[in-house]
Amino acid sequence: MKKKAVIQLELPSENFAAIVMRALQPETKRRVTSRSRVALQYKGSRLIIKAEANDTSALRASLNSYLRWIGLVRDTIETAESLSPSL
Amino acid sequence: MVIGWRPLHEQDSKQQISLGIETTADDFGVGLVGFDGEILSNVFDVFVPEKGGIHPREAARHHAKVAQKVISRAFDEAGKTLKDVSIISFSQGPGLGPCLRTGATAARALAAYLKIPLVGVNHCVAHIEIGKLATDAQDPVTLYVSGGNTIVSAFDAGRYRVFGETLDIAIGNCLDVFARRAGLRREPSLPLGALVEKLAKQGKELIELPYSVKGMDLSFSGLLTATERILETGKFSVEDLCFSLQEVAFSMLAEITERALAHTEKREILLTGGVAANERLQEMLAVIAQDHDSRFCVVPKQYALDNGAMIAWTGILAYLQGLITPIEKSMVRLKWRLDDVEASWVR
Amino acid sequence: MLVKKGAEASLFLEDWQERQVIMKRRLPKKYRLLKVDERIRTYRTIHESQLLHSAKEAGVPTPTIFLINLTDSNIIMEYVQGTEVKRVLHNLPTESRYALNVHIGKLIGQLHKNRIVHGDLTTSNMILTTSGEVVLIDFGLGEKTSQVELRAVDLHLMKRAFQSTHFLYAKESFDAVMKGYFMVVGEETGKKVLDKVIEIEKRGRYISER
Repeated sequence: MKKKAVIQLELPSENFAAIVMRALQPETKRRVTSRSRVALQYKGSRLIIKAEANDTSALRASLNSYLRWIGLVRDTIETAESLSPSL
Repeated sequence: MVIGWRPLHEQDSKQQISLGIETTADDFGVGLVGFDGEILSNVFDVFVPEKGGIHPREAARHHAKVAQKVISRAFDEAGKTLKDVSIISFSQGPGLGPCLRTGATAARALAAYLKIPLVGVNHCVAHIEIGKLATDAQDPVTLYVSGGNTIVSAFDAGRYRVFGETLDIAIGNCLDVFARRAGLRREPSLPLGALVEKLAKQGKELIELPYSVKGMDLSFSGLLTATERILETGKFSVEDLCFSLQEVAFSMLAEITERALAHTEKREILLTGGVAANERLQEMLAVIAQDHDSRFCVVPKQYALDNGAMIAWTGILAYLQGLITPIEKSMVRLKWRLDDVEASWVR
Repeated sequence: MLVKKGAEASLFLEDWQERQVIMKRRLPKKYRLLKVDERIRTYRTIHESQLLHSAKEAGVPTPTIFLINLTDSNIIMEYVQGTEVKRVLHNLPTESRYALNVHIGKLIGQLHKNRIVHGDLTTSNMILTTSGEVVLIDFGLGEKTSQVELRAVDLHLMKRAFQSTHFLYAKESFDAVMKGYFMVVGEETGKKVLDKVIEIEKRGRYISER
């Protein structure tokens, strides 16, 4: 039976959600493990991650990767803002 | 061709910069390079595993963790701000999946945030281009040697053609795996290959090991297995084994480089990639260059290992030809071959 | 008289026993240690002589050997008059090129069928003689084996040679070679080897530990 998970994240702004979405969208076309699939969407500043996998460990691996990448996007944007406050 | 998003007059007034992100394997590297080829900064943080080789997922976790720090340092050292950046370049492949995807994600985020073009770069092409930039080589036969690749190539009709490569493992990987087997431990400042080189200098006895050249291709896996077996017998010192392993492996590399040089009739040899720092290998290729009245060029140490500057520079070359990578189509390419790339910037 | 200076050996055209012969001399390489150098040159000289002979027995045209000198790593062999396939291939009309490549494929098949792997298949190691025969040379990197892996490497090298040197018609050339190859080794063996060629090309260049 397929294992499914939906995670909703409230992000600081709609712009931020849009950037996360753009940065991660290409990754959804390739699977983290051969047994899983992830879809992303956002509404306002809310990001919705839908993951589906054949087993729990594949599901967890997928979600971990995406959550880490979202953290990475946050870090990167923070760095960017600190490097050029006027932008 | 996509034009930068800033007004043109503003672009003219100051140096344009490419930010390059390199994450194909164990390095997270960021480089800032001016469109004129000036390297403004080149910072990296290497993942050192507790034990064993690179585990792709662990390396990727490392990359995500240090990204913020490394990017900031690259700007600090260059004395630039993000506003100065015109394009974001990133290593799109070939390499380890989780590592590549982490770098690509950071690159896309920056490009999307700054609304500037993204340029996907082939990691192997980048090693060649940084070598050419740093040594002023014009049209060399290139021996590119690292932990993940072993390729002899030369430019012909629009692409870097592959004349020879390893049929199994890369030379750097061969040296690393042997070093670990021999109980050597890598330190951030001293990669395993450098440790092998150091010990090899103290070796005296040449142990007979299998030499495997096939056409212009070569194979290191049999050589590695044989060396490991001899190590287990305890009959020879680690120094002698490092010495013999290097002599045989590098003779193989030198032979195929000479064959490619004779075949292509080019007049320059360029040595690039992480293993390029090895002095014994440099020495062998210098002899060949001399025999063939050719110039020998070796990439400077700071650009030999995987680094962001080489990605930034290659991104510039591609971008100036109008090659950009739309974010939606910027999936990483794990097995992207060197000879798949249309290198339209090379004359 | 020096007729060809290769990376590994030089070919001299000489008079010997009242005939013109080729003397192939494996020159010492200064870049490698003397001990490594001597081992390689001796090994290849012996190997090449044996394989040139075996290939001829298997019905694949090769130069006849007259004398082997292991002290200087020399082989004196028949002088084959003709042109390297490398230099003729691009001047041929498509059909003739196809026919020539199919023929080359048959010769490779004939070698493999007789447990011989050439080890350095390129279009410069094939001579098209004035009588239209294709003569194979340079067996120094060859082996006596029927291993699928080494057969596949042989064909991979051929493909590589087309891709690097004859890139405008690389695919059609390799396909033609494979056609000839299949005709000789048969469908089953041919497929096994071709699958291996594809596997070699896809192979990762990296192992993390073992």
